[in-house]
Amino acid sequence: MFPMLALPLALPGVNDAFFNASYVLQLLTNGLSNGAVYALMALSVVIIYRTTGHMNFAQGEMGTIGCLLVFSVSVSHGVPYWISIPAAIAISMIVGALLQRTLVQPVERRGGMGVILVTLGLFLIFNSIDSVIWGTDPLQPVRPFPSRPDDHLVVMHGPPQFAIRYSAVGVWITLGVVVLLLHLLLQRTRLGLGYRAVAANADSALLVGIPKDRMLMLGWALAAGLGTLAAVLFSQTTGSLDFNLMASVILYGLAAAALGGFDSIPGAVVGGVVVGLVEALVPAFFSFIGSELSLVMALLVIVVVLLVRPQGMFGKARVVRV
Amino acid sequence: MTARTIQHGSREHRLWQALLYGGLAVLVLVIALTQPDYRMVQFSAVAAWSVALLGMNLIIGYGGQMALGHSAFFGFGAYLTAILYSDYGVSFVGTLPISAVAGAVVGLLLGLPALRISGLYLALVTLAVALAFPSVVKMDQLSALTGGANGKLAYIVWQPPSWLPFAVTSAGWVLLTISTFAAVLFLLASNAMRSRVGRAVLSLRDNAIGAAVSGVHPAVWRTSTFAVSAAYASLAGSLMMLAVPIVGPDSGGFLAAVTLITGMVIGGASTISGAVIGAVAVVWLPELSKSWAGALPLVSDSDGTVLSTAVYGAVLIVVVFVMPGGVVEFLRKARSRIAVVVPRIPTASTGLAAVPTPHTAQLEAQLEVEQP
Repeated sequence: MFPMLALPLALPGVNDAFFNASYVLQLLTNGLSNGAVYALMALSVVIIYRTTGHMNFAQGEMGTIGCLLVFSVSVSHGVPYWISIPAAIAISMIVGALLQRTLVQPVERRGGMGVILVTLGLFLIFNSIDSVIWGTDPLQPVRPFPSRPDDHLVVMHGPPQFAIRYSAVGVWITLGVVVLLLHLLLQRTRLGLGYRAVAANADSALLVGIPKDRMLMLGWALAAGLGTLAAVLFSQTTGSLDFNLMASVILYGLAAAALGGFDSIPGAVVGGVVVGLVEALVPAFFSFIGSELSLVMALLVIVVVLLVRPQGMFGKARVVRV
Repeated sequence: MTARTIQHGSREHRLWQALLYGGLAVLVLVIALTQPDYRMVQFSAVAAWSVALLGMNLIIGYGGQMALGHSAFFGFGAYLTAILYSDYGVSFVGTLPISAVAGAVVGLLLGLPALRISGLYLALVTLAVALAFPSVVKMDQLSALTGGANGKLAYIVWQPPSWLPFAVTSAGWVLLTISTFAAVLFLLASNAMRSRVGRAVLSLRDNAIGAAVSGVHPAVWRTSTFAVSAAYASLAGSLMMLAVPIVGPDSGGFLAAVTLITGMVIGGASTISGAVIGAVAVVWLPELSKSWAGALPLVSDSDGTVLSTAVYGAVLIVVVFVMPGGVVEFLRKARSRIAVVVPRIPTASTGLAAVPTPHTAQLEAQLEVEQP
């Protein structure tokens, strides 16, 4: 679009191609699509953290298993995706609730590192089950949204061309719908009220008759469902699916949750989008940062946020009484 | 049957200690003289891993800080030694102090944020460091130095010297060398943890405010514990290069971090000797779990290799449930039926050892925090 703009702004270490409107817009939409997936992962982190104060490091792997289940049922057996995806989400919700009840809660009473160790153990188990059942080769994922090469809306004719993919719009709309449903569930239903009460003060909630244990299970179930949905959407976006699908996504999700505040649901969404944009734009802007360093950037986001503002953008600062 | 009471530092206690450590030394020597080379590599790996696990025990078990990404320091040390040895011609022993100091400096840099970040957040940050380690190593700017995704080779020439009174293969000499370094590092850590250094570290873990009031500077002690533990992990990586001549990006990665954590939990986080048992588990658990997984019906051999990761995860979870204190804690409980070791109690006036009365012995046994 603006080829002349590149010349006067040629800075050392800065990618000249960055000063091109359609290139930047394309990066922005890519970043937003990944950001939506990270936002879903961050939501699943936040939903568990709010009530129990735990982080489930196995969340990504649980999502991968759900996504691979969808692949098996839909691609191998021809079940339509609008049945298989909700079914996989429902199954992972049940598994999530069961894991909370059978493994996490009993270990919780021992305090300390127990829960972290259990979720790390689950990470290993799920990761290895994935590769045993589905192999280590990349698979063609189920794509609920149109994803042929020309399924896009060309906004700026090239070169370089800027087009919005229908699948990206689908991912954004899905995130919006999920956030809306989550909001309605938590703010407008009795169940959501119970969940929020447990998050605010578990002991008092128990005293007024809220089944605390069930609310904790609800949190894990919701998180597992979100994780599976995120995995399905991420395999749609990247166009490939293997047993390591979510290995890095969980880190971006955690970075997004840290950025937004581990106890804030709007924070998770904003954090996810910001992390997605940073991941897309920063390596493109600085020519000396390779794309393989985006994991390091996620790490830096986590460290800087926790150092400067540990409660994140939207979280509540915790007051510790000594 | 009442348990025997043995006073720490008494003649009887010294005798048992000498028997135990002497036996261990003889065992290592016998292994070095008799075992085939591939076994020797495994035992050398045990000695090297045990140093890394000891570093983790210092920061996690004693320091109470959840620094879970020590594989990154391990990988750092291994790369440092490999690069210095093969590209800059530094002798292997010469790389060790460099590795220790550099590891401590990196640990210090990471330990400074750890002052503000604690608990779960620290676990998250350190695990993220391990997760990011391979991508840093594979960076374009560094790949000339690190060998990128292929890893770094360093065949270290390590022949037994002529003054040795017995004939030993080069692999056996490697085992003896690593074991000696490990023994010195264990002695240092064990003595430090039983002195005022250890009391300061433990007091910070158990009650930070109380410790600060008693004159233990939390920032100084926390960061230096972090630095020392990172130096141990880095040294372990350097020592490992002697046994296994290649280091790859994944040696510092997430899976390696979880492997180390599993070893630490199996051995027992707040113990010194647990590091050795954990290292045995780190080396042989994959092999064992491969054969366990291979014994399952409907599992092919290649699946068995992959499934061993699952067995690893399952072992981690089972140990958390069954033996939260690790094997060493379990053995200590078993030992306490036979004999109880009580610490020497200094008197207020002289500071010299006093003979404990049965009552104080009992009290001390209850309060016993750390006795190897």
